[in-house]
Amino acid sequence: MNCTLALRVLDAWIDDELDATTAGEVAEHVAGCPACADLRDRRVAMRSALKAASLNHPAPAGLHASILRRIRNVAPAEPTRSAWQWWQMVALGGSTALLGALGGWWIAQPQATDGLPEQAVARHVASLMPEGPRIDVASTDRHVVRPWFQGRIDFAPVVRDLSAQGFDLVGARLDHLGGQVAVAVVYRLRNHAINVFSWRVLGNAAEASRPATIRGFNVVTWSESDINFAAVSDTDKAELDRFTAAYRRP
Amino acid sequence: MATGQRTARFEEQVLAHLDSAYNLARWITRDDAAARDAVQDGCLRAWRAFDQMQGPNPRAWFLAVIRNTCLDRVREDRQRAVEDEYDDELHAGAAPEDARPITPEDIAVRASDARWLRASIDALPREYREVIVLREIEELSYKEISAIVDIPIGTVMSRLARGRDLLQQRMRFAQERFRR
Repeated sequence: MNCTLALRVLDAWIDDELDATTAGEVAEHVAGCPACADLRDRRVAMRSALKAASLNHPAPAGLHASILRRIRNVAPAEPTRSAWQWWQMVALGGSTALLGALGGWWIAQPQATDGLPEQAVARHVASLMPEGPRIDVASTDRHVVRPWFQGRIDFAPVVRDLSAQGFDLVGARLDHLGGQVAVAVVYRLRNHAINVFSWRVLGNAAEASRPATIRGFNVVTWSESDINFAAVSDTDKAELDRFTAAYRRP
Repeated sequence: MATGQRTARFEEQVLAHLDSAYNLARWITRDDAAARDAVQDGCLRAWRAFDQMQGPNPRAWFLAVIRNTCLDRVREDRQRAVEDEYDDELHAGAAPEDARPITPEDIAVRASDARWLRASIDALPREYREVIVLREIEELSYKEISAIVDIPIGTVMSRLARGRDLLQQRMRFAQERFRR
């Protein structure tokens, strides 16, 4: 090995990143070449100076805690229904006997492999209570609903007053979809609840205004400037399309 | 996955490397407040992308996210980008100096002075600074550095060699400066 070649790999040799054959050739060259040996010595001296100086900048006290606080702020609220957590335990435990017994119920739960429309329907169903859809901030005033999300999520949700078109704003809540925190804005058309989910695009963007009917529920999914949307309702398809058009108007 | 479990897993696999993350951010941004902001933003990014985390090395993945966050911030700050050009006059002031005449004893002390070495590394252009920090302080392999900085292993090797050359020049330059 000559100096040109040795100099090219000298650092990798010192860092012990060369294969045994090349390392042997470099060692042999350096042993017989004062110039390369000198550079090696200077490199080794510099390394020990760097090691001795403890150049590490440790994270300031309190940073860990403040990061956890911020994560909790953007994370979806802990599920309030114990059935959800229970499902998680079943999934993790992988108890097949239990799965068999709960087969029908299992299918009704959202799964990570499900498409976004399926997940949106599952979250819509989960939000429906006998006394009305579950909401965190109940108001017919969009100027109350929208600011509620400040500091809770990292995007500004779309909340429109659509009462002129017959869709009354009921409120909104934090939910989750596609493994992420999502906003659900709730409207009412006569007796039908409409959930509009929105969440930041990570990975799969929803296709352009794709309608689907799942278990009798109508779903429309679309994407706009890094946000995915899914509108779900048991109202008929024409009404949901009318709602979506109104909600999406520029 | 329930939020609580996801948070616990995130803490265990990712936030466990917070010191490494802050160290890298501090060396890239060269500023305490900027490093702190970048790490906070980077942690949120990592948290959101956690489900898509790939590969068996959460630390390398996390450091790549932190590095990208830092570069985004640096790009936003045009002045800081300009400062990346090495400027002897500017960085002479970064080394701890005082008005008193410099003696040979001072030189010996300075050579082992962490502040002085820090200033020498801070003066390196960012692409050399980051590989030196990842190798010499974080003690990562070429393969890990290659993944974090998103360059081929051969480039990791040549950047480290060039970075060390530059660092040695700076150290010699500074010593001569003290001698005068």
